[in-house]
Amino acid sequence: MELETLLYILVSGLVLGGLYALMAIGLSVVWTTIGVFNFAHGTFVALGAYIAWQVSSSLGGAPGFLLGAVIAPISLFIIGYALHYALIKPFERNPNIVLLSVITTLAAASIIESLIQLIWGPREKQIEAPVSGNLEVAGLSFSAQDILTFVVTLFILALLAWFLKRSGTGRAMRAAAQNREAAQLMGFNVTHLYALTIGIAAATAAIAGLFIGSIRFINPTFGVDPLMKSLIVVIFGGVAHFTSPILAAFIVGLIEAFSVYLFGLYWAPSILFGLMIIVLLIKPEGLFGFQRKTL
Amino acid sequence: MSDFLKIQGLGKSFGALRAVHDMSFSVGKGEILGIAGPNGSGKSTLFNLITKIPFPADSGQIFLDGKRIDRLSNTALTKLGVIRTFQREALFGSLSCIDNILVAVEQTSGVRGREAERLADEASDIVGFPKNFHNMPAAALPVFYQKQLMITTAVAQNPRVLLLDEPASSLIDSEIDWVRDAIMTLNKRGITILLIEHILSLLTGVSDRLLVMEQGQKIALGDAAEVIRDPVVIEAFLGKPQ
Repeated sequence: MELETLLYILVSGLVLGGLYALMAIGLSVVWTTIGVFNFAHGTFVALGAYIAWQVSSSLGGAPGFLLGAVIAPISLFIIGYALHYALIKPFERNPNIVLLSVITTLAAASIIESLIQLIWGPREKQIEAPVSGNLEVAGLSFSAQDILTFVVTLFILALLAWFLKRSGTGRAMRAAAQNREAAQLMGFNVTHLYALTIGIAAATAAIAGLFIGSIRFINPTFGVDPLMKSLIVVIFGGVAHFTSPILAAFIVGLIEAFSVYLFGLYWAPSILFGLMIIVLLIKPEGLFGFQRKTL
Repeated sequence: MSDFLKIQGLGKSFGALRAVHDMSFSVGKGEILGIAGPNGSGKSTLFNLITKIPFPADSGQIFLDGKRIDRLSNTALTKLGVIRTFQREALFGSLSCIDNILVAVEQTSGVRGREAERLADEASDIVGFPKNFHNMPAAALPVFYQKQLMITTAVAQNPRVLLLDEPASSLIDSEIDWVRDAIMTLNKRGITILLIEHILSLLTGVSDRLLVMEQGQKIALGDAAEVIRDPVVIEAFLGKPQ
């Protein structure tokens, strides 16, 4: 393999990994904070992409994309926040909350998917990319959209890390994630913090949807693949630290990019699942996990 | 002493088990009320009912400074200054010690940034929690310092009534002395304290009055020295003489 080819595959893997990280971090933050797996997360990605498409196509070009990048996450934040009260809050005292939330979030995924079909129809759509052409770096040519995706993804992940580590609300979310009872005793409004967590996860999903929708076609069932990839990343990397699924996402992205080049597009999922099974056999808590969950 | 904290007919049942039954007593402003009783007598449940975490009472009323507070949310109770510590070390383990204190400050007073940091430092100074531990994860601290940190976070919430649940459990003698001094220091700052403790010497040493519970009920309340000589109390702790 030539060095130039290797570099292209690396960049492609990193861009893919960044998007997977953005999708998976929402799933991971919800799991570590509330202790439930949100199976509606994939449809959050899809709904975010559709809202962004609606906004960007009505305005067009880079301004449309920019407005979509603002409206879609805000909309999804509100939807995610509200959905907490419908999907999880009613069952928070139930000992079977994990199982019940699987059912409620799967139901929500199905309803959102149907609503997307009802509002936007079954025909595929694509969000117009804000930048076009290539950027020349050290004699190599990279897609400007790929570079933008990678930079924005890293920025959003860093912003989320800062928010959780440094802001008062982020600190409160981390505290509530670790010890709900002590947090309540301290007077935290834990329900609000949990709803905020789902809202933030949904907003990051919307940004992922915006970028995926600008490089691939979107349709009402488009959320299935992001959900599957997020699950792989979270299980693969574990959730011991904020960075665990992010590192795993980049590894998954790189494995996928190399698999596509070496074995073809259709072998990539098989190779990913095969590696995931091997990791789980050796380290059931995930590649970067401990046998605990923290935020 | 005035009835700063007044408990009236407080009760809680779990099926047929009456965990706390018809509990009534008052605590004066700035008083230290010791609470003793055998394991399972309902002491911690009484604290649970006052703070409503994890469950509220089935019956009864609670007044703070003449204002009824048993219908308030836990968030409102905290803002009024009703603060509690746990028997076990209930901290946010993977957060640093300073973050543990900061969340307490931010939550209760609503201040952020430098002012929150100043209040967190002040709470550390009052309790004497070593600042060189501030950046360590709370879970990495030895039990004694975890207890110190728990009291520091409670102080950071600016308590008017502090409910201390066995602050000296699992500690050695010199550490128990520290707990005694800390309780007295906090009390001198005007904080009303309810103290559950199994170490009788500590309990009788710091308490103005002693409340003894058995099977969810009050069996004695009064001057600590007199209460521990009460035959009913001796029987509750040691059993009936043969």
